[in-house]
Amino acid sequence: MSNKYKKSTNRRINIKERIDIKTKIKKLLIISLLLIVILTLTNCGRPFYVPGASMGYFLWQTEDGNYHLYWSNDWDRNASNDNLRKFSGSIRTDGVITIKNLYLWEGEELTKDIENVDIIKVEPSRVEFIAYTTNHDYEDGIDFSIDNETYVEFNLKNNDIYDLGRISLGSFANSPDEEIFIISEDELLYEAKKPFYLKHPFSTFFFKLSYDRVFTNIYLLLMGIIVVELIRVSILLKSKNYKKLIYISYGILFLILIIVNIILLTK
Amino acid sequence: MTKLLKGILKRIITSEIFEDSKNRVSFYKYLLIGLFLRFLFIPFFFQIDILSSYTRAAGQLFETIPETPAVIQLVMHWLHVFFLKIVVQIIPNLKTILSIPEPHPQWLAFISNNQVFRMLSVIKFPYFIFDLACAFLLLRFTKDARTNLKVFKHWMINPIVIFVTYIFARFDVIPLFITLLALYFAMKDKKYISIFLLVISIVMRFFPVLILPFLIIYLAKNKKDYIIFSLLGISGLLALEIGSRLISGSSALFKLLNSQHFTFLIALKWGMEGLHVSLIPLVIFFTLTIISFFEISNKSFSDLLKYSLIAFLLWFSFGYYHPQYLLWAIPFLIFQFIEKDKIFYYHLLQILIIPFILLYWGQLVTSYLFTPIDSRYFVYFPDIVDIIRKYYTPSKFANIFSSIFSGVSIWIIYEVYKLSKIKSNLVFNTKK
Repeated sequence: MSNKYKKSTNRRINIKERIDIKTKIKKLLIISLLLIVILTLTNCGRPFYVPGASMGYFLWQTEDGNYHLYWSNDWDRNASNDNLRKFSGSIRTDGVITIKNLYLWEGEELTKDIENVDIIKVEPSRVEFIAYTTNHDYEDGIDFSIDNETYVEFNLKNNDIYDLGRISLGSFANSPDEEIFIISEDELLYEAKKPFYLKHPFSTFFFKLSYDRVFTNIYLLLMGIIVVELIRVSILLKSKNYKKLIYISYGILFLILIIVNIILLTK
Repeated sequence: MTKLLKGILKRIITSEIFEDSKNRVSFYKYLLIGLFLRFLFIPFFFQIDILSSYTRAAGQLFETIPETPAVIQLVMHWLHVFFLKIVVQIIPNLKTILSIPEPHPQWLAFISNNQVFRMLSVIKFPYFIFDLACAFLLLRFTKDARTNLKVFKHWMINPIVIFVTYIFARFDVIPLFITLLALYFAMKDKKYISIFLLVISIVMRFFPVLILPFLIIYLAKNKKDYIIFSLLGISGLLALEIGSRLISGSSALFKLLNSQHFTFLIALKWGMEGLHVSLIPLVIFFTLTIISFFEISNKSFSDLLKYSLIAFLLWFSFGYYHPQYLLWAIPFLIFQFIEKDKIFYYHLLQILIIPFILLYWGQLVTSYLFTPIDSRYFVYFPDIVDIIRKYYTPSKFANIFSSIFSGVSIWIIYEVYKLSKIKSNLVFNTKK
């Protein structure tokens, strides 16, 4: 009899342990998925881009003060001339520029057979460059530092035209407003360190929600009622304090709505 | 007042569910989960086709862009004109956006508009109504309340229903509702209404034509019935043809036969070496399915659903399809889940494969779906097809998954066929 009792108790403990492990695994999976999504979308440190799949300029600064200006072309099988794209521009400052590294640069001194060589002209306060990407060479970049600068001015062209949407400053899709744009000291570092909700795509998403307050209120109210009702039917219905808990749930919902509206009004 | 409300509720959710507290709670729970999932996607996701439908409607309503829709889309076009007439009162700036003549600038203006969430919620709302109508209609097919609830649950949480109607935002749910209504009346032995409704749905979206032969065979009791139902069946298309010739002076049917919709069904061909002859697998298997259904001596409503499902699955196995067309198989599949759990798991496998097949359409069905959230971010977001291309040919990659999808679909056909050979455990609300 006692053996049977022990066995059944052990089985119950085993089942409980298994359920606990399952719940833990589920929680871990959800948290890691959320982290991956947030990290992918916001990407700490440098703008998110995939060489050969993203097209445009990507500019960022690292903690050591170095600047990194990279450009990438998206692969296109049907494009003519091996998808040749010209990235050209200049960097101007009141400080002194030191080139640290030319990333995947196909200069004259490196390869003599190349038709469209990448060219860079370096002066103490000015850098000019012309570089080409193709389906086979889809990324180039310049790593540089500047001493004693108060500003840095960039003039970046994509196939000889300005395409501001394809310039990311510090974080992906944070584009300049003017064709020739100025970066102040540590501006890129500040952009990279911004919390995720102030970066794209969350910043635009929250802006649109705050712009259309009528929609946001109706939407939040509807979703809130659905969630509270789901909790009511699934959990609260079995509770002894059913009525109390219902009032609390709806109270919380309306409190959230009030807080959201205060935030929207103060913005 | 409460009595009236209770009466209405009882009518909507059926008395078997309303009068049993356990069933009522389950129904309410599934409805809430379904609504939550739908509302999660309605305002934030979108694909350019819905904008084209409303642009054509705006052209009609405000005489902005003089574009005539294809004849086969006429019914859906007029429905959109009707929807737009109502919704434009709520969002007046929609009219300005819909009058932009070029599709690309129009798309950019729409996704970057600060009221895009409101606009998307409103223009998708008619689809939401028909989606719910499908769900409530599905509650009425069997005599067992628990079974009806399971059917309802599977519809409310099905990822394909949610994807097609709210993320991909296509109108297929409207003709699908009419098709379901046709099946409901077939179940009730209201033959003429049933055929008439199916004809309407064919005129709306063409693809329910796949189940027309099965419906005729199911409803017909004698030769006379066969002739009348067949004539009725093609009457819609004939009316369309006559109407088209009268209005535009050109043929609608021949346009249809030369259109993409028909090519989708007959694209795959088995060529014969050295001869200008080829066999079309879909037509071969479709014919076999019709004969097989015809040969069943006591055809039940359950058989009609099974063979209709086989017809759609054959299309997805041997034809070409756009993602939204997958919705057509869902109501038929749901009934099979209840008869055999295994089929549900195979359907889950299909759902897991679908994202890979979507790669065929590139950014249109991946990053561009998110553009209302942040147009700049998602327009410039790297194309997943380009990322795959770095390692493997994307079309081959998608083709492998498409073939796996076909394999799973054919296996489901086999399982459903096996089920049709035994007595169904579903008791339908038939009058037979």
